[in-house]
Amino acid sequence: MRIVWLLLFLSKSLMGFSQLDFASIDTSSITICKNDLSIEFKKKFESINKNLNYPNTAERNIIKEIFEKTQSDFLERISNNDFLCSSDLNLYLQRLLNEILTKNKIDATDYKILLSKDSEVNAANMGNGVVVVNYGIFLAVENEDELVFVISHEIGHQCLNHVKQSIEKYAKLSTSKEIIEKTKEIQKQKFGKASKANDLLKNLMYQNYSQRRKKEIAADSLGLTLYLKTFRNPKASITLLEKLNVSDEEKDSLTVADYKLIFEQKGFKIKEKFFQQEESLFKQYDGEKQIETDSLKSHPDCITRIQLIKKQLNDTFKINETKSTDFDQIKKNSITQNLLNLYFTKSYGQSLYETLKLYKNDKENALYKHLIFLNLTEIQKSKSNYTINRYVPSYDNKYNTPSLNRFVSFLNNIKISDFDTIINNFKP
Amino acid sequence: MKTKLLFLLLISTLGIQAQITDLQKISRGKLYSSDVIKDSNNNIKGYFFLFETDKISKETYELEYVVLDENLTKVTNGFITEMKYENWAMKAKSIKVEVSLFDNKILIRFNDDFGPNMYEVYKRFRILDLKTNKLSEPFIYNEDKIVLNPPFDRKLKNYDGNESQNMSYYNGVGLIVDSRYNRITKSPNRYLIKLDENFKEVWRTLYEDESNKKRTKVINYLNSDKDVIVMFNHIQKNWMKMLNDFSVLIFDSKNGKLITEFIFPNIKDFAYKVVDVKLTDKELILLGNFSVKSEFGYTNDTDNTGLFSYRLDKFSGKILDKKFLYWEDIGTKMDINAHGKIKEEGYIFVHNMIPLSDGRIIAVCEAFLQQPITTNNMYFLELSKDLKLNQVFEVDKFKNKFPGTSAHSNDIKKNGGFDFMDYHNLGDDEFLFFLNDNEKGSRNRKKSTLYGVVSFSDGKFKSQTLNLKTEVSTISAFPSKKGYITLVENFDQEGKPTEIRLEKINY
Repeated sequence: MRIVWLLLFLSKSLMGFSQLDFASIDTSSITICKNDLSIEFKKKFESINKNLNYPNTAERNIIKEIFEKTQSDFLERISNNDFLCSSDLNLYLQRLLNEILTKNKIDATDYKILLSKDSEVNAANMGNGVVVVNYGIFLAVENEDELVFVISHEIGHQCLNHVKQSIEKYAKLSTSKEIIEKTKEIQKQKFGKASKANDLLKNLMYQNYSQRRKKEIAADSLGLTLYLKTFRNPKASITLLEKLNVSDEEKDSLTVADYKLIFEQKGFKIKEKFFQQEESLFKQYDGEKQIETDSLKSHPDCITRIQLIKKQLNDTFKINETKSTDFDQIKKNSITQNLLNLYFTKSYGQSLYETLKLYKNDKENALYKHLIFLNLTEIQKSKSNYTINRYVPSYDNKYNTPSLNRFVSFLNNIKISDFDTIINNFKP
Repeated sequence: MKTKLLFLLLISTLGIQAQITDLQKISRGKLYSSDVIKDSNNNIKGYFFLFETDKISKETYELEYVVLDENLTKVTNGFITEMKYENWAMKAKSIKVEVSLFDNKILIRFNDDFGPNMYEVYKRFRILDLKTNKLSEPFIYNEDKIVLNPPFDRKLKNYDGNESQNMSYYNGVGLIVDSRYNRITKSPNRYLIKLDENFKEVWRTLYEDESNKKRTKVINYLNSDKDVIVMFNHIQKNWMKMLNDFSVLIFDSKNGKLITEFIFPNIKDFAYKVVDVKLTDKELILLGNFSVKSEFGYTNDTDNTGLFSYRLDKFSGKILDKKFLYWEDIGTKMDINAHGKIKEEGYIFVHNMIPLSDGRIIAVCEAFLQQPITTNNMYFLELSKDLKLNQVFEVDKFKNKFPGTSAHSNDIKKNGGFDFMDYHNLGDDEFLFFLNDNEKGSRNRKKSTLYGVVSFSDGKFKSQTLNLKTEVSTISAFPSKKGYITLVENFDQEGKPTEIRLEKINY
């Protein structure tokens, strides 16, 4: 209910920002859409579960357990409003999905595409004909062809039945005579049990991850075949992977001068101590010992994937990029829409951080200002009840950029009374 | 206890994500012990954990150590082999670790852990170099020398050859050996020995000759810097009985020479305990508590007299100033009698005496009863430079009572019986004090989980209670890096991962 009110409040506020040329996704039918999705998937899952026919009871039980867990997680995502319910956007994505399926003569009955609010540049095949595209993909892709290749890759996973295969393989392995005997043998040992169990587990994990990497390459290959049938620009498969390769790099930052530029108004002063952090004892952070982290990568690196795709394409980059006004409109809104998604998924720290980076270069933007106000209000609330670290990332010397750590220090170090002042300064 | 609990909760996040349940159960590590890495200003800079990962032969185990930084990010880990004593009659339940920090190195002391109040035996040491994250081979100090890679051996007949003198990093000084166990020195002499980073002896100072059985010095570290090492000396008779005889020994950090022995006044009537020692460029300030002399050689809980402050010249040991506060002179600001008993609350125990930059002192006190052990309200006293009471701040908290128990305050403190947890020095005379405000050992899930935070800022105390009760989880709080508290939230919902949050204290 609270979310609905917030949405109504925000949509109302956004109506006043027509001069910004930004139209947020129409979310007015969110409750209906959520209920419809929930009913649709409950039915779908019931039907899938009815048809789980495996002769081996132990295997069947494991498979059933995994299916039930993934299905309940998926239904929880629906209930948590993780998926964007915009008829226009969903229709657009469904159109792209249908284009690939039709051109490849694949029965579209069981296929569906959903758009998640997640800002991570990613997409997934759920194994039941459902392709989930994260909104974050729109931040990376630059044309519709690249997006179509993402969807083609996920359809590739579905056609090759990768999810189902993995679950079945896991169940088979768990109930296999060989593993049961090896486990019993280890349990009988007087000494060195844990090391032997660990070695066996590691081997199984490495094999599993090695299989996963092979499946990614297979999905790339089949995805490319499916994609090429759409007669879109083949080069998009390469440019997409090039973008994914650098998608984790932070492209902008916030300096102390930026904080002064943003927050120093109506007498409020940025102090050096807002950014102070005790110097850490530790300068070197090691990787995992006893585990080859390279062997635990679920995806091959993008450079390898690009090389393999290039081989398959045989340098036939003759078709031009597809022009799409629908895509251009979505892309144009994507940065701002992502800020809203982050806010609505309660990633207030990330939403604020990204908004501040945009606001410093566009101080007249009323939407950014409003989002700063909304995020700061939520962060202040969480700071008061000692849950700020649930909504704002942790200070991290190993993984965070200096800019992100500066931002985390700032939010932690300013007092509640300072929050009052700056929130007031951003009040619409 | 607090850090152990934290690690029990963290273990689930550190385990290998296994695919096969039975194998995972076998491979899972078991937490042995943990310790916080603190700097000389009492700030938490990191955490050290020790897990048992496998039993590889009789009494021999593979252990994994994990180091986390102040933000709980994993810095390094590694695997070592260690032994612990096990026979049909007696078994060390784990291996305990204690860490001390000096420059960019952590000295880790391991010993077989037989449980609370048991002797710490089979001490051995390793050094973790934080520049390279390399852990040294084990070493002990035995028969007057460092023994690298001592043999793994738990045969009682070989005990003397496998035990170590105690070693620790002293603030501003480095690695010091307190060579006091004559079983392994084969000599009646007790020494403090400074070793350099290559274990070469820099100096040694004789502080006791044990042939004097009737009056033997037992010294314990108080504080140190690059100039002096300050040790509390408590006299023991026949290696058993502690006498009402105390002094403070001040050694020169550079050469180990005894600068002075500070003798407390009127020992025949009073007992003394040094609570904190502040070292400045030129001075040494001894802050503590004194009582009427007791029969058992420690301060008398039920006849507590007051507080003392001695200001000494650091280099000569000359007394520059001395002040006393008698509870009976406190006046109307606090309802405490001449024996240190606070009306309706109990006797006073002094946890810390923290000097401020202008000479004022904050004394952190908790009221308690010895029998049955009961811990009551907390009192924060702001004292003037002359040790006069400026203000008292009382914090009402849960009164923990343990029926059928009895103990001296020193033992209650040692075994974690008090509710005061720790303090953070935030600089500029600002402090945060943390206290537990719950029934200890309570299993009543419905009860609120309360933690008290007392701040001292701009000369004023302020108290807040973190009510960590939620309908869907249980939350535990632990002191953390400067200005923060670590909250560990375990959710009732099955499968929902434990949330570990570092939260900045609002004050």
